[in-house]
Amino acid sequence: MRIDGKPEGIRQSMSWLHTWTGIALGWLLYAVFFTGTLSYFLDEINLWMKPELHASVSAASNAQTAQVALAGMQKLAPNANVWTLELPNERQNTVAASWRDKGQPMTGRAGVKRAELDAATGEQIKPRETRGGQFLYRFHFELHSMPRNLARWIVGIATMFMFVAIISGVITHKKIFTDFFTFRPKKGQRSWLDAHNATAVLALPFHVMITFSGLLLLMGTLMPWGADVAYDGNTQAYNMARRGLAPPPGAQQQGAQREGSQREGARGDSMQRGGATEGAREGRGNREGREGRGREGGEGRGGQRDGAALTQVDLSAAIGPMLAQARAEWPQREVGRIVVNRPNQPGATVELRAHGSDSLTTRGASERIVFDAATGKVEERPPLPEPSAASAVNNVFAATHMGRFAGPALRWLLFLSGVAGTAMIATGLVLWVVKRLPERRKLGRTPFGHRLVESTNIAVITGLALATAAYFWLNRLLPADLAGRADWEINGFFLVWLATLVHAAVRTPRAAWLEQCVAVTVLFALLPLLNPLTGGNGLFASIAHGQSGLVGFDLAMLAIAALFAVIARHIVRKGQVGAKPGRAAAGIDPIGKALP
Amino acid sequence: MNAMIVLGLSYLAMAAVALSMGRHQGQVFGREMAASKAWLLRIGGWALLAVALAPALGAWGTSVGIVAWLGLLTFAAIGAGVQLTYAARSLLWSGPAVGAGAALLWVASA
Repeated sequence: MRIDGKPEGIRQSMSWLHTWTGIALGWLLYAVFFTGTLSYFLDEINLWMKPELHASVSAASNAQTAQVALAGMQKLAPNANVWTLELPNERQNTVAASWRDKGQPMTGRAGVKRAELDAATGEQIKPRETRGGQFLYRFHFELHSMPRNLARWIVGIATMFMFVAIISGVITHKKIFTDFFTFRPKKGQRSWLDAHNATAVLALPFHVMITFSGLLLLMGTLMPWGADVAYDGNTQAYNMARRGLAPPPGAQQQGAQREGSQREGARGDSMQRGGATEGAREGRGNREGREGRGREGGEGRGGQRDGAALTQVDLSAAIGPMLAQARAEWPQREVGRIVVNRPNQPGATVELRAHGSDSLTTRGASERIVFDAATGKVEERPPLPEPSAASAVNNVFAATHMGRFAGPALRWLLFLSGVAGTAMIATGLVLWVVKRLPERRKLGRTPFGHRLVESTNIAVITGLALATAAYFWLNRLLPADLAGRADWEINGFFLVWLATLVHAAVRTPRAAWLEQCVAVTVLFALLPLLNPLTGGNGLFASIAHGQSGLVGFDLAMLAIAALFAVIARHIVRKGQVGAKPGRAAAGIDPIGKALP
Repeated sequence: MNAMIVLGLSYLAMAAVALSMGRHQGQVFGREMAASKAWLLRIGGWALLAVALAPALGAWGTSVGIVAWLGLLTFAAIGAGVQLTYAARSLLWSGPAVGAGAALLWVASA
């Protein structure tokens, strides 16, 4: 398989394999990093992609929002067994409500219904159909259109290679500390190598954290045997035990119930297994299954005490004092979630949960107070879980990987670190090509393999960005009521991505880089304008309303546009991008590349 | 606010560590400095990095604080590195200025 067709020995063929698996893993890791980095703004992307929700502006006080939301739930789901309300926060405009109707299973995803409530009125808002940021988030560890476990294995293997490369690179790269601050621009391959090393070494804590925790999160998929043996394959029991919770009643039927929920991509079985568990990024929605459960299992606890007076509690009126008490309890925190168990039934309880937490060791568990709905008296203050040392370590890595704890400053820090990681992989991919330029010159032509890598590099690096921009544009340009529009957004994403490959193949590399960079810049930069033109809240409106989730999205998009604008400008000035650097095992050996 | 304090302190620390290296002394001063002075800069830089952990822990608690500190160190180092590439000499005044600003903020908010 030599590009010049000469016969080869075993060493050459191994070298070929090494080179090509390296570049392929690099492409995969780039896609994982790119979509994963965007996922730090998962909630913001979800919000942006449902412009119908932008009109929801929180009332001045939490209590007011809670009142209208509870009144809304009374209309929407008077016969539910449990209501869960996620109050608006810095990343969310609406009240995200979910509930389980009576007679539905109390655990698992089946039987959960959801609605978005306007924070000011409590009315249900029906947003357009879209996968939103969930598509990008899922893509970063499950890819698309392939069996979930297979995809996780592929991503897991790439992650393991990267982790090994980082550790061995740090050990073998002798000049790692003397080169720490070094960047020598305008020196061709040297500059690319410097950029590659700088992004690798300076953000080293992030790279180590993100790859190691990525492996931990995929642990259950990659190494399921321990849990299989110890818990008889009951992954839910395993996960509950791991988090120090008692197994829920009826846990055994979980598997069956979940079968139907595959599509939502759900944190069903294998995700549980994956150890990423518990809805982590999807935050809302996945957890109520467990957390709202508390004691609602016994439907009729006060059942004998009949009498309408007891069962009909006006929650809207009762919630105010409860919120005030919670606020006195946690002066630093807002109430983030309200869970009503057995609404409109005897023995109803109201559980308030603080928004956010101070520690990573508990995986973002936050404090709770449970009230008797009828009397308003505190029934219980469940203690925070105290994880074992091993769990605590696992939790720290998982929570950091997912940025669950992060306020805006830390979220941006993680996002920018992700950008550095993405840039590290991109410069590594480019190095592969640049490093082979002398060989090309000697041959006097461009071997097909080199051309192939060069074009694919373009389609991967700028093409993925372009496809993502197209995904956001399609979200607004496709009619809101189009049948199957969520699928068309995703189809559009892949069609555009494919088109960038064709484009990169037919244009000269320099033209392809430049044109795609310019397109990416323009498309991302115009998103903040497209938004108010197609029904969303523009940057000024969202700033005025304090909708920081929307502000965050716009700023992130402008940051991406600025980054690609800088690259485009660089290409124009440089005039010779054919010389983009590239080094074989970019993804595999990102740091070791610089070995003398 | 707390992020600014940590970032400012570690930026000065990173500048000091960079200036303890011969290559960067050449960029900034045009020659290498005496080994004893370089050693002082290095120790001082590392010590200041450790000091910058304190406001991070104060603001975010142990686990989040360490993560935030590591993340901010990264960007402090990137800032110092970029500056060394394109405007090396300016590091001489920007380092102390930013570091002092951060220290003032810290004192004021304490």
